[in-house]
Amino acid sequence: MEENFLETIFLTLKLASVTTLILFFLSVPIAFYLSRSHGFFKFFLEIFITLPLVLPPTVIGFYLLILFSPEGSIGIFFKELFDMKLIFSFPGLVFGSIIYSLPFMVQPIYAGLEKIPAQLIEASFLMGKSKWQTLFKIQLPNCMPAIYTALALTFTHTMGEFGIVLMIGGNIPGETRLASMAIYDSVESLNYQQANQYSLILISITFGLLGLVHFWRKKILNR
Amino acid sequence: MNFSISIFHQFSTLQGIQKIEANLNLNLGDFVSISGVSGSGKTTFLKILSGLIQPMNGNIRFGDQPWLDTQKRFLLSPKYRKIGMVFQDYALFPNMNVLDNIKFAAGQSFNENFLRDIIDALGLENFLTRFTYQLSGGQQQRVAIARAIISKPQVLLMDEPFSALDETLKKSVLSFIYDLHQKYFFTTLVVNHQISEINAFSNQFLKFEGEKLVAYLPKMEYGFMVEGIILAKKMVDLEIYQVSVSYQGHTFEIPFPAKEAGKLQVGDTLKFGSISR
Repeated sequence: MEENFLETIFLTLKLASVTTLILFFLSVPIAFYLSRSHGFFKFFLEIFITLPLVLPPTVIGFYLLILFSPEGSIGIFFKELFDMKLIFSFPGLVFGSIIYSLPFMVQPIYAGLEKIPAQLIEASFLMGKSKWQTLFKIQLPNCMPAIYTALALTFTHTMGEFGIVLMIGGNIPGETRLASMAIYDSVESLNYQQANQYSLILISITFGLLGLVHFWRKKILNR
Repeated sequence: MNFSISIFHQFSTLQGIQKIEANLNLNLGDFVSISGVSGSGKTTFLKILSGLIQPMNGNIRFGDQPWLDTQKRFLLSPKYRKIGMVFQDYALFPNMNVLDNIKFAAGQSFNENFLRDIIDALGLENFLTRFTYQLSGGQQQRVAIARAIISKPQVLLMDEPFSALDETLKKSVLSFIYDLHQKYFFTTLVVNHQISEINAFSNQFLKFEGEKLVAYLPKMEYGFMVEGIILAKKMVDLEIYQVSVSYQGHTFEIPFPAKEAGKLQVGDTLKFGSISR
């Protein structure tokens, strides 16, 4: 086991957790907007959210590299406002992951909200509840299977992220070196045993999480 | 004080374009029975009244409160209309148990005694902590009724409210709703696919004739013109007879008190208070 093994695993889990948490709070209003709107902006937004699913991660990574660089607009903004460097840093990875994993959080929640019978929402409105009260008291609690799926997919997807990490994160131990990078490095240096160790950890966590979500979903859907 | 409704709406269905037209002037506190064939627009009409659907054209006014004026582009939000609604599919919240469903509808301020009365009258006592998916259709329907009346609405809309209840339950629930209506005087509109015992308490009858919602025979007033009686039969328990009559080419069923209905025979004609054979 390499010296930074646990640190790399911890950093990977930390990135996945932070990204999942931020994305959840970001995605609920987006999914809510999508489920209620019909306009041109919705059409545009849906395409924008779906892009990371189909584009090569290196394409997104390339543009983020340009934008996050000290000469890039977002890079300058964060440097001047927060004295924060985005490129080759953990915060930069978080921003990149948020963009890359956005569809994995938004799409299941959006689909879950769409599935809720309109009559439940109408009944809530007739009881004098606002849109937000209806969202938090009726819509979200009734699409928990979709939320579990969204959380698990986002977490596991962020854990396995490689392309964007390679482009904007680099491979700095304790700062930006993630499990996926460590696997790549190990294979490059023909250290298959180490690659195997990282891979098994990722598989175990992913399998466990997806199993848990599957169990919860079944439990909720079977009642 | 009137509940004036003048609306026109057109919408697409699987069968094609559906139209609804209604020009009514109800009294506040009326108990209105609405009938019509399946797909005639009864549910859509209730949703228009509740503000859940905005009609293409129209004007709705409840007392001195405007609810809708499409010319002025005005639509009063459903939450300000003080409406209780029993949905055809109940629309109970699956994430809440029975008591929470009712309390959610009641909002922050509600009367504990009134809640207790409703629970007792609708026989909900034994399953207050159950989730709605653990209930039978009849139980769910009673919860839906409780939820609609807990806030003492000024208008109560009920879409096929007794379809899943057995005869005994139907009678007791109906009596309870009638008592509440007498006490709180909320304007009540009940949609029925089939004419049922609820008509016994109605003082206004509306029916979809094609796309138009029209008023028809006022209840149990012997001045109405009936051209013939097809069948008279006694409704079990309620001491009310449902009498099928034909009037101006249309066939309706209207309720009669047992005493009066007992005088009727198939083939009778009622004219201005007298029965002629």
